[in-house]
Amino acid sequence: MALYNKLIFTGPVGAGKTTAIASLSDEPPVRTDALASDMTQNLKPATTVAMDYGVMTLEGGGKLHLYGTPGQERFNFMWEILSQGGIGVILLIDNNGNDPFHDLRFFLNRFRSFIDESGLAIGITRMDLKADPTLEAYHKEIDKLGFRAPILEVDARRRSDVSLLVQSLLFHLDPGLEVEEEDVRFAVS
Amino acid sequence: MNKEPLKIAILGPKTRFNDLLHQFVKRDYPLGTVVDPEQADVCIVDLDGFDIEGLLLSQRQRMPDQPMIVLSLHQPDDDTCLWLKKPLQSRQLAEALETIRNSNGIVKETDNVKIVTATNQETRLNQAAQKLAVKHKANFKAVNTVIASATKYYEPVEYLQGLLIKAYRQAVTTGITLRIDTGWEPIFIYPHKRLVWVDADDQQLQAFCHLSIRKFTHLTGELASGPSITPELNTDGDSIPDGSQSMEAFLWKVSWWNSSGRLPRGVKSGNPIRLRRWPNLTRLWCPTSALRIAALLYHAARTPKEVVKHLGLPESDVYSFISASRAIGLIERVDEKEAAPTDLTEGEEQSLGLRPKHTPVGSHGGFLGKILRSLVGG
Repeated sequence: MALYNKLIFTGPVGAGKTTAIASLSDEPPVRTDALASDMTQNLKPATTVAMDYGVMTLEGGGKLHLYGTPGQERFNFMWEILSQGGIGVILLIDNNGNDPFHDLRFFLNRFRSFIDESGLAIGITRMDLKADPTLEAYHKEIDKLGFRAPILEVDARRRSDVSLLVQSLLFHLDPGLEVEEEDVRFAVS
Repeated sequence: MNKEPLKIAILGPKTRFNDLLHQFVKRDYPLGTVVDPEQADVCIVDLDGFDIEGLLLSQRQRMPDQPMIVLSLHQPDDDTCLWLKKPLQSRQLAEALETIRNSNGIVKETDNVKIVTATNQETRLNQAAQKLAVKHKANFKAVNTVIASATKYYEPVEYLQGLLIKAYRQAVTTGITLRIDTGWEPIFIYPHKRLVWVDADDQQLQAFCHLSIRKFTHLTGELASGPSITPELNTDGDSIPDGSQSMEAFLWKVSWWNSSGRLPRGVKSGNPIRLRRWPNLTRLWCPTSALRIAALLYHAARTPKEVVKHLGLPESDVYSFISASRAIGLIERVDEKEAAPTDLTEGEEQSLGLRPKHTPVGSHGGFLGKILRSLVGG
């Protein structure tokens, strides 16, 4: 039986996958950045070429492995390998990108079979720089593609945001999960 | 006794309350007449009015010996004023005016007239807000539970929630910055940036939200015809004060707190509802239980009662969530036949598409719980 102890972070170049993993990982994440030599260099000087890896240590010594897929499509052969044994996909979309809906459609279609077998939560980053498309519009878009998932605004640098996005995935998988202590938060608007 | 009419000035901007004071002098106190502050024998000032401190200070500097009647909910720290406690009775105001008219400036205390100080209005306002907050805050969960046990439904239009929704519609339609006056702190809506600003913290707002507008008005003595929504002309819409909040986040928490664990009228505890989409919970005030409720109501339509039973959460948590979600337009009512049948096993729910198919739960459900505990505790 496969071990379901992986969480996959995916999305286009610059959406915040590496940062999100770093904000959750209990150990310094392993990065495989390289100087970009293609169109990616217009977006950021260094980018992930194989994968990012982080780990969360759980009670009882278990571990949740956090994998970030490379954003560039030419590395998509890696995606299927990384997804095996994953509990779900965290898809990050840069709202300030050229065509966020294109990115959304591309990654959902690419991961469709894996998502059907696991779960999905979508984080929209950089909404502070560009408010459109709205979350409402994203929901309509995934409805058209036949998906239903939590979609939340996320700042990948904020652990609380990334944590809540992962929590939304867990509750989406099983609303019956219980939290022992009531955790009342005051979100910054 | 002085036979001259008492010259009375009413300090402060034109508000409903100050209008009432004008009407009172004209109709009910024939021994007085309203004049400008510079000509007045006495000034009346509503200390709970907006931004009154500067006016009061300026009048004090211009006419340091001029008697001052201050009206407020709580006693200020100033021994140069006559203080009348709100809610204001016309008899008390008449008595205070008579005291001044007959005293030639020498004022004595009576049962209804207390001599107090008013040098530090900010402190006084803070104290008043704190008292209000402490009185109504307690533990928000406990408050929710108590009120929910008394009544299951509330009428949003009787609370700030209804007023906000109305003002949002006006502001978004016209594109004009609006101001809401309730007798509490004024609330400003900036539709271009979709922001709201109020000079109060969450604790103060939460305290205010536990009262209907009418009850608050009654408590504070604001006897005007009702709250108002007016264009705010003294702003260009770009100079928004620090500390503004998104319109959605503000309406969400106001509705959560207005609900106090009750359902909004129009949503019945036995009728199925569904969540159109997840609320943007990274930017909204909420307890962790909100994620569970969102997940369940997003998967399939259920009645509020079923959500309570299914998740084993307090009714107040579920009902407040539904109220806040409905206020921001995320709740839709569903025909009963579309709702998730109750008393199904997990497998039956999955086969009917009411529960997502996922490999980990069941064989690895404990693993998800461990991840969750790590995230919440970490």
